[in-house]
Amino acid sequence: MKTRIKEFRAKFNLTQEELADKVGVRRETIVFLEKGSYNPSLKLAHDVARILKAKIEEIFIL
Amino acid sequence: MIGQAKWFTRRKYTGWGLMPRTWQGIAYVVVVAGLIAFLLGLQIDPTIKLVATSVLAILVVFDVLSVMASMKLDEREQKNEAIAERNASWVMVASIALSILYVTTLGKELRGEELMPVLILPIALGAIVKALTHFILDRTGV
Repeated sequence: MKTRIKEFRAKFNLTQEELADKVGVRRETIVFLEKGSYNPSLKLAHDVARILKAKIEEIFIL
Repeated sequence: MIGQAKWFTRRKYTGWGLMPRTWQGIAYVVVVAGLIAFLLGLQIDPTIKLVATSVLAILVVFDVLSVMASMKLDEREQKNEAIAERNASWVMVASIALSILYVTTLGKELRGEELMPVLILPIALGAIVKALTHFILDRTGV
């Protein structure tokens, strides 16, 4: 799955570590999400989208 | 609970349980190992020694379990842990079944040290499979 997490993270000037803290996951999980090699649960996708003030479908592209 | 979650990390590649992460974790392991060694070295009644060592071991196991329970895993880590444990469990069940079959075909009762490989093999194989699964999942994601 392709994601635009990195792009949105840059918009809010957030590091992977900061985003991970806000979402409540480890930094490695954000790394996997950005690489598109981990399919998150709906809850995690929702949390990431909420922190990045975007819709889920804007962040996660099937 | 004496130990704290931030002192330790979960074992992923070296079996089950905890590994020290900070100097406090190392100190905890040294103190516990020292206490057990001290108790075992005491020249006292063997029954009292056995009881004292068992009580200490139970306290340590309880403490380690409490620390493990208080360690928060995120959803990816929980998923990876679950997959690794499932794979390890299957391999352990299969190797226990094969070991029983092997012992049965021997036609004699194994005792003491003869029994050790049969007991250790499933644990060793389980630990290897757990480590391999974690390695693959950490490289590829889920």
